[in-house]
Amino acid sequence: MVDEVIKLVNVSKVYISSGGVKTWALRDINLVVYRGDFISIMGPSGHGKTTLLYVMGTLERPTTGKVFINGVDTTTLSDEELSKLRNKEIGFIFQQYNLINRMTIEENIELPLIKLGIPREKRRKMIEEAMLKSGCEFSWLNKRPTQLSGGQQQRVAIARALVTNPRILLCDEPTGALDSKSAEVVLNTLKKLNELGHTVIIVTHDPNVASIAKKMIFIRDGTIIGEKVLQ
Amino acid sequence: MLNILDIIRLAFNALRERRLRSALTILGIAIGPAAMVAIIGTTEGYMDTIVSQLQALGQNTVVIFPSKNYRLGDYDVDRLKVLPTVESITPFFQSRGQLRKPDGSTVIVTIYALDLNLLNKIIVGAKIAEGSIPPPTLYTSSVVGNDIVTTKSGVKYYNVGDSLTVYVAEMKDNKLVLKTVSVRISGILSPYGTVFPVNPDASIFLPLQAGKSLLGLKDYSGIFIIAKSAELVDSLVNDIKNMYGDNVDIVSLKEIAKTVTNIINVLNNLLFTVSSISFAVAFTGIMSTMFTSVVERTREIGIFKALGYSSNDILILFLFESILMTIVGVVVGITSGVVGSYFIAYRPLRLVGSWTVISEPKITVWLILRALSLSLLVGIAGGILPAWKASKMVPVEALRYE
Repeated sequence: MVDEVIKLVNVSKVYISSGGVKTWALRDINLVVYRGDFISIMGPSGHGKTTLLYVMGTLERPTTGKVFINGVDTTTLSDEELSKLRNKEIGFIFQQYNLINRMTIEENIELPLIKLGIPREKRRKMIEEAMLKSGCEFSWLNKRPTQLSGGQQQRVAIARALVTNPRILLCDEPTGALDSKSAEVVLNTLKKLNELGHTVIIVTHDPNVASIAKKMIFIRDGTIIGEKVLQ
Repeated sequence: MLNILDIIRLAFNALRERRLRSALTILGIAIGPAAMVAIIGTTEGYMDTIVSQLQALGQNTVVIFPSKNYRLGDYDVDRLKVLPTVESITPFFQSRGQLRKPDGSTVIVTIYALDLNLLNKIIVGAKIAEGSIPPPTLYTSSVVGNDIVTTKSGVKYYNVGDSLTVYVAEMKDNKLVLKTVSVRISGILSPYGTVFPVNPDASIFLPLQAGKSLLGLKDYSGIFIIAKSAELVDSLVNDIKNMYGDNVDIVSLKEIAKTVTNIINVLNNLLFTVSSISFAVAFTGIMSTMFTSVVERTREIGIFKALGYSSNDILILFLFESILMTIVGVVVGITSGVVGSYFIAYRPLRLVGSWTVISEPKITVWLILRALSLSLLVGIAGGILPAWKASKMVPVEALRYE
């Protein structure tokens, strides 16, 4: 049980439009993610990959079913408890990096530490450690995201996701906006982080990206239609 | 719970990013406390000065003036002085004259003829600086105010024993003629300051007999009545009303002070209401700025939530931005209000005739606290709805916002 980092039981997600039309984004998903897993979720656009990632990351509550993180049923947690869980246990990496352009790189990476309540004098060391792990250069610290290339920004985003040392890294098309060289660097970084013990889950529609994972999950129309163990 | 210093830093950074909009909002916030402190500080300063001047004339004093065709004479003095509430009484003659000073300048003076022994009761605190009060029989001898014997720059050119020549207007055969009156200075009053309705500094006080003998007046201009105590003034006024009906106008300085205080209080409330409108403008300004900010930063809110910030954290961060703008606005507003109130009060306020009030503004802790608390209330009220809207954003929708 301890090794079950994420467990989804009969999870469904339904969106209801203002006109009352129901759209099933996820249907009866059952999935267990173990500590140290490296999973890629594959499927066509609009078939529920990102929704599944957000439900696993507690950014989205399921309409029905249960989501367990480290054995805790997150569907019963309050907003404050879910926030703490995300802050400490889950790191998000997005396709568009989602760095805040008005802040420096240091301030961007510092954000999760502020929420975690880490004293200011200890933050710099933690930021530098995360930057080292994600392949960032310290000379970027005082730069703004717009002064960096896409690949560099994504490495900063990884550093921000890593800074609280979360067990789970959830990546939504992390190489989608990158050229092939930058994508390779980012994927190698994720692979290395998995080797360091982080559980990594990548959503992608690119088979080359998906192939670096240990396990592939195929999703269509909100349902898991197959799995493939690669390593 | 986020650290307060981090909250302030994050809020400050967000405001700094939108410098112009923040500065304009701060300016809008500053107008309310600035208007409140400047206007109310000034009027309360004036009120204090006016009331203290009225009180200086003696709260026991009641003055009656003839109205309609009634003529005041010795008969009236005799009727009034037996009233149980009366301590002392003196009729008076009043006239206006023109004094030509040795430097060639002319000044308008008021001449009173009355029982000079009651002078310090009628004008409480009036002191003879030089000389003495002349005896009632020496009707050409006078006690004069300080402005009569000095220039505006304070140079003294008349002394005790000197004579003054005053041109007094007199009605003769239905014609207005100028009459020359010479009086000797027997006493000089210390500088007193303008008070209503008497301006001792620009007055010449003569013994009662001078009214008829020197000024050529037949009927008394009025009667000063000193009550035994301030508490008895209302009773005295009622007695006089019962005796005279509409034949005399009664001026009770206590009543005037009360009326003036009431008028200024009403005025203050009115000004408070008017300045409150500025707070309403600030309220809409903050709300509009913060709503725009929330919409512009929708994706940022999603990022914060993904990084582990709760709805309450988002609410606090956005609310602090409006509080921070309000604090800066209040500091700017109160400072400008204080400076503004001194600027307004620096100019003399002319009320009636020569009665001019120069007053320091009254900036009290209560006034500052009122401006501060109202501004903070407006800042929080204006910021709470946008902050609440930000906090309630669904993270996934916020992250997808383009």
